[in-house]
Amino acid sequence: MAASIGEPVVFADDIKDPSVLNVATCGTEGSVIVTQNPNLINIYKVEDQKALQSWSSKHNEHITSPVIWSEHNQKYVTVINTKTAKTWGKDEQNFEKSSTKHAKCAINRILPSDTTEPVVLFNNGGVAFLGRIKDTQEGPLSDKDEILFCDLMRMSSDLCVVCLLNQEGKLQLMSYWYRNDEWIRHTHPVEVTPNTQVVSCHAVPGRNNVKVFILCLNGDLLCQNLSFDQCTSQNLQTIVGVTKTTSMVALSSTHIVLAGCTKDNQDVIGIYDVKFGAFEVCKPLPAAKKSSIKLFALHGHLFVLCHRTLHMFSYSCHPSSLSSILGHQRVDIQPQTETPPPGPLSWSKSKSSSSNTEANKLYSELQNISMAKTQKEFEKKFLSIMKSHESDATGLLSETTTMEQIVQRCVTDQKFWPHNVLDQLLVHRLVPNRCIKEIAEGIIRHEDVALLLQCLNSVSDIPEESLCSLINFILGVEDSKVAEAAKMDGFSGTGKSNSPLSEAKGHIVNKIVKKPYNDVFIIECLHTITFQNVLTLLEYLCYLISNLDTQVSSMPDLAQIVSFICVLIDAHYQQLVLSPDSQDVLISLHRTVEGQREYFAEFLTLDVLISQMKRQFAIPRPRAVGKYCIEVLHVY
Amino acid sequence: MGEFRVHRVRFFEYQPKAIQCIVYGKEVNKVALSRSDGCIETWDLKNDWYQDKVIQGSESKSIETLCWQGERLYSAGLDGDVVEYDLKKLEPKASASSNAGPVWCLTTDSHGKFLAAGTEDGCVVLFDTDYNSLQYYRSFDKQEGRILSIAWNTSLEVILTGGVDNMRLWSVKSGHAVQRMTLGRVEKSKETIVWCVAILSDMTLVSGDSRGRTIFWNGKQGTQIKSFQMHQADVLCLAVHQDEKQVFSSGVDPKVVQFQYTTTSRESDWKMWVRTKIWYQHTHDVRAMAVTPTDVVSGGVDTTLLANRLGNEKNKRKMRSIPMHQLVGVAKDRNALLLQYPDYLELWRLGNTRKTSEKDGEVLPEEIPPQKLIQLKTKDGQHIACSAISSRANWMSYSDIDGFKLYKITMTDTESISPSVDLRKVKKGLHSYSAHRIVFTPDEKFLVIATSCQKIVVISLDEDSVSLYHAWDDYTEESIHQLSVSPNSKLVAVADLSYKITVLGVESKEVVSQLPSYKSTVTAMTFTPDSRNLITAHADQKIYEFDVEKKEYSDWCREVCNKFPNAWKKRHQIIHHISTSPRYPDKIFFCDLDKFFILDKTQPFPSIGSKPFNLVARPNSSKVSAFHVCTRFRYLIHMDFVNDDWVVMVERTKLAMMESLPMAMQQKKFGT
Repeated sequence: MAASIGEPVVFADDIKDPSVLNVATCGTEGSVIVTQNPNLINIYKVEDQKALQSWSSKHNEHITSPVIWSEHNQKYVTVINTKTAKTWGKDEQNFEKSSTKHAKCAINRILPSDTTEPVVLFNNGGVAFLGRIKDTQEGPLSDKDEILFCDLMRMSSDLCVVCLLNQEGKLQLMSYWYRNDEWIRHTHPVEVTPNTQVVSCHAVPGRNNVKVFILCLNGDLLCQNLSFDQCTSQNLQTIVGVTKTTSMVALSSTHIVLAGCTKDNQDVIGIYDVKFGAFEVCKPLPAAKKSSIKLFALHGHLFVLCHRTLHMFSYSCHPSSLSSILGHQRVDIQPQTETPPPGPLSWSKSKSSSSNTEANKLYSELQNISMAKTQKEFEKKFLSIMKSHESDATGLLSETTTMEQIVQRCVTDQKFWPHNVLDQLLVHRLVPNRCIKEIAEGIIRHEDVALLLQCLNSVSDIPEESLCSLINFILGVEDSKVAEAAKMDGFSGTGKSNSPLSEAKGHIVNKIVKKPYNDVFIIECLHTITFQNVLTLLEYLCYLISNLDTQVSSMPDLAQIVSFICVLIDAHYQQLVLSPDSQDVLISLHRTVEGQREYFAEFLTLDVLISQMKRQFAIPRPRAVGKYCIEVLHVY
Repeated sequence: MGEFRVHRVRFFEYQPKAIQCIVYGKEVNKVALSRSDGCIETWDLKNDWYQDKVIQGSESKSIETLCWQGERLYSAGLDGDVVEYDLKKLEPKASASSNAGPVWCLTTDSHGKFLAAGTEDGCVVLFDTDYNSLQYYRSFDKQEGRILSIAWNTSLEVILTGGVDNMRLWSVKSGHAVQRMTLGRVEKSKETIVWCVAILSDMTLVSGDSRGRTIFWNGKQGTQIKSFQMHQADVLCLAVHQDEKQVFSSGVDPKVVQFQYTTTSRESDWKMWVRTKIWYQHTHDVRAMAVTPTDVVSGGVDTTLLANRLGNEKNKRKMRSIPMHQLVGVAKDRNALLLQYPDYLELWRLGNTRKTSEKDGEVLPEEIPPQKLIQLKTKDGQHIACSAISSRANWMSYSDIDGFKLYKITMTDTESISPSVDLRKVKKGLHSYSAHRIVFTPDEKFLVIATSCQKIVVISLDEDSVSLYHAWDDYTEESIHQLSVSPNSKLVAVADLSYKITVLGVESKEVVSQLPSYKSTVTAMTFTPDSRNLITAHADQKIYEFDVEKKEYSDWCREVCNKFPNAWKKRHQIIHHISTSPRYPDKIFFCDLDKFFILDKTQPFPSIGSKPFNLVARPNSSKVSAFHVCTRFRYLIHMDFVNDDWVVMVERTKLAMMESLPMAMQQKKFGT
């Protein structure tokens, strides 16, 4: 097991204001400082959850920024009533005796730093060290803007304050880089799916960059790779079960902790593997969530606020391997959440990662309407994917979701009809079976007879509903179109036929009749065929019976024709009986079937004769004589 | 040659009984055997093992031992009586009680004046049979335990008996035991039973016991000479050849073992008993054995009488266990079949079909299935000696030892699923003739009976009355075993065991003709369809045709009578039924146990020296032969024509008979 979560322990209860609650490191090893209430600060020993020390503020003093431990100053720092920063030492018992500093602007948060003074983030978006809060700070934010998340990241040489903002309705990632004794600000837009909202955000420092994980309500987990000069965005996973109260903490660049997710109708806390897109471990939350959940990870423990009680879980997390994750992946079956394709995952180790990345990019571009707007662009990207998989076309089969997405894109796009793409997909048998129906609809919509032929040639199992709609389509389409497509398929008609259908159409109908189907289901679907088409089809099938040519490969055998006639008549029985138009066809069909019946009845006689002849030449078997029989005796 | 539709009947479930005793009569050259149902059969060796006489038994009768004394045949059993049989009338003639309980064994002295019986009470009882009498003479000292086997050496005036755990040698003069030999036991609680003993002229005694040993004893000293553990179970029978150099033993493990008294080396004259041959032919216990000058005869639970030629291992004969006399009657005009079981009769309607086929062997669908119409049981379980059905199935008759019975049958709707059948016994007011053979004339006007008193009686049948029409008293001295009526109902041919064949006029009441005497028993005979000729088949396999009007053999007969091939005459199976058909006037149809033959009078006979496989005509062969054969039918009991092209073949397969036999002794066989 790469990760584990222990049993929950009640750490602190009666948490009145969850908004101010914070669990942070404190000056004593093995202890944490908890900003429990707007008036109460406690230090707890993690091991036995004993409160070691406690401070409380006056009634009119409310803690607005949680207490932090400043390693640099060896003091605790907090903010009271948004503008007063209070600082006190470890041994100071009385909170009132702490030193105070007044800021001119409202302080949003004090962020601890190991090497420098704590950094203060103001509500207006300005940043300053604690020692300089008395200076007037100007910030980019207005009163309407909202700071969703902020944290201080220490990289190898840089100090960076990361803020996720909701600025004028848009998400922005603002970063302050402390270089040359000044704070340099960068702002990057964050693209999230429309009509969703950010549920939780957390950042982890990398070597030279910061990874900011943003969890959206629709389950999207975005990762912003923030460095001094650029910010790249990546949609990592879609996590199922994310709710408004879900809280997230990133443990590393590959693992995050999610609390308040719904899984199997339970609210859970779990460690989620971002790489493989699966929960490594899950535990149900100790109490039903009734309000927002807050989550902190410190000293190998997770602290979860769950309905006024702070619970503590011990956890461990190691880098994941494929073997540890197998079987944990959850397939998204909710159609409304459009899962992005997982990209070209390969089981083969030999495959270079660069091609994977490339293909991954292409896939996402292919899928993205904005990236491949025209058919030309689409086809170009598609063919490059095909090229990258040239040597391992079958490997693509494992990527059903990907293919399904591509086919969906092909079929649903109103602007263009990528015939060649679908043709290639069908030829390589890369179309998932559940997409056949959509393809058939597309074929009918775009009257693409050539693709219909390809579909019939390549796909062995076509849904009955699609078969019927295809019959309806082919009987109604122009002969010239069909002839052209059939010619491309390699069909060359004799030109001499008194068939009720053109030879090319007959060729396609034959192929449809040959397809396997379930008679129960097809009878339901055959109702969709128009009555005129039913008559034409019956007439044609009747013609086929009397002109059965077994030399032609596309020709169905007699049993298939008879079966199809049966289901067709079953489906339209009443209409056929009642309608005067069908009389001729039915009479002709009856005559043909009667002729066939007589023909096959003769075979029975022939069969008896042949078996008799065989018996004559076979070694005679000893016959069991019963008690009595009448025998013929010839004596020579 | 011939195309027929055959009623292949296998529902005749006649079950022959186990053979209990076999004795060889040197003077008459016959073998007599008794079966477990109390019937006695005699087989005539002169006529190639022809079963000439059957003395019917009954349910209550048991025969434990048989004994020939010259031409006289005796039996004894659990009722304690010794019975002498009249071999002409085929019924008991005289009996004498042993006065010592059941008799287990019987033997005779060589002069033919006394019988000695071993009894349950442990006495040897002598019977005086001199001057054609049979009376109790005296009994010897009583021993402990029953006497199960006995042998008599007249010259030495000693009788040897075997019982439980010991054998005794008795002095005939004094009636005292002079020697006692004990056999010992393997287990303390399991007694050793001496089932069979023999005594040779040199006072060598032979015994077979329940421990499977055959022991040769020195009778003078009462010591064992040699003991052979040749059998895995009880030795039930011993037989001594007349030269006294060969002894045979057999028993529960069904092998027949031969012992010979012979020198063991060329240089020495010293002789000793050695085991020489073993025959494995029986499937079940061998109960009895006898030795003729040329054969060793054995029989037992498997019901088959086997004769193995001495000195020639290949030459063996297997006699049919079903009686040779007619057990099946056919009502030709009513398509009905009368089946004769030991103590009841069954009348069956045969099936019918209008379909025909050109293909040999094809089974035709039955439009009307066969159906049992009547089952008639005899009174008190008496065994039936003979039976007959009239051609239109209006009359039925059978005879047991008490006399013949006549029944009137009224049948309606015979073709329907449930025909109505009415059977009425005819009170005839006639003398109750016990019959050996009965036959109805085809016109149903007369019933011809060959009585046990060797009379030929003609009874006139009428709807209202039955009366004696005519009787030929003292017709013959011997038993009549064949009767045949001509198709025109005017003639009846009578054959007896003294080789006499006579043609009598039924209506005319006169002797029409007498056939030349031929020294071979008639095994089957029939008239030609025109009633002019009488065809007879003999035990030597020859077939003769006698012109009744001209009173001479027919031209064809005179031409071929000396042309029967030697291979034909050497055939073992007796022709037991012969028939003719108006549709095929030139052909004679006959059958034996295995084959159905057609003799075509228009075709030449094969040469006298023809090999057996060249005797009969073969399909696709240019060779012409008068003999045509069909081997499809096995174990044929009866063959007859019903209509023109309809033949009835009644079979009783060996397998079907074996099904009802008891379990044989389990023996390890290779591969099992």
